[in-house]
Amino acid sequence: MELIVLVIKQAKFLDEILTGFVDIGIRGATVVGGRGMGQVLSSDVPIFASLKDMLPGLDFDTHMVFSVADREQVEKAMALVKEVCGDCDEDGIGVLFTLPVGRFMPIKG
Amino acid sequence: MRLAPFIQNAVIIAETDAPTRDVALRMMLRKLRALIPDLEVESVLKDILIREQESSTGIGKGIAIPHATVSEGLDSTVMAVATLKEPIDFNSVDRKKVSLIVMILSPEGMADGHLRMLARVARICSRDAILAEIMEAKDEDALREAFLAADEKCVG
Repeated sequence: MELIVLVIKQAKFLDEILTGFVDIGIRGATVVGGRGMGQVLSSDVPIFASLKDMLPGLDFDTHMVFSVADREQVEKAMALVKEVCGDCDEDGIGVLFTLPVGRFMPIKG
Repeated sequence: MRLAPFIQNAVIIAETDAPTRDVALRMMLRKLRALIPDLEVESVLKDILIREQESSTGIGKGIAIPHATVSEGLDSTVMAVATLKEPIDFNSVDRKKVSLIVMILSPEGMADGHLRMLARVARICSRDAILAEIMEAKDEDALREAFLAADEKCVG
């Protein structure tokens, strides 16, 4: 099993990707809102304030998606993200990577 | 989740002249009953309409995906697809009238498959180029082929 970590900007992509996750059988994911480095630097660190145009994706909040999936689902998830975002030529849309899961225990109420 | 096996067996109705949402849904259910004799048309219609009251399944772009789980008479998930000669009001999120209805019915206890099929249909219909090909289909065979081709084009 692998932990999928997806960092994505633009809600329109997020909605499509999560719908696709359901389609390919990924039954759960956790979505966390965040700010990208460029957003933080350009708003919080004065020296970078004037560099907004050089840092891509500042207009969109960042979403992080975490999900544990088997190898087949990971392959489909990567193809799905490419399908949803692949024809977009904007910089800084996001990133997806996976990490091996050491141990896994579902918690049921 | 591939739609192909479900589309192959789906009820397909092209260019119906149903004048309202409820008439269209009842007609689709009656067609499904021809395949599933134990299907309780009015009971299922009531469940679908209750779901519609919660929030419309008119997802925009002229598409609605009404759906329900059925307690009796159904062994596996079934689909019915209808296109409308004249678009009908479905209280859609974008207020646009609906000209494509994809109905999904699943037996109780098959929530996972039901959700996956909903997601698949929503994905297919969210892609403008694919949707245009579906909307252009003028008869049942063309509609079935358009959905099969759309299914092939989507990852999953």
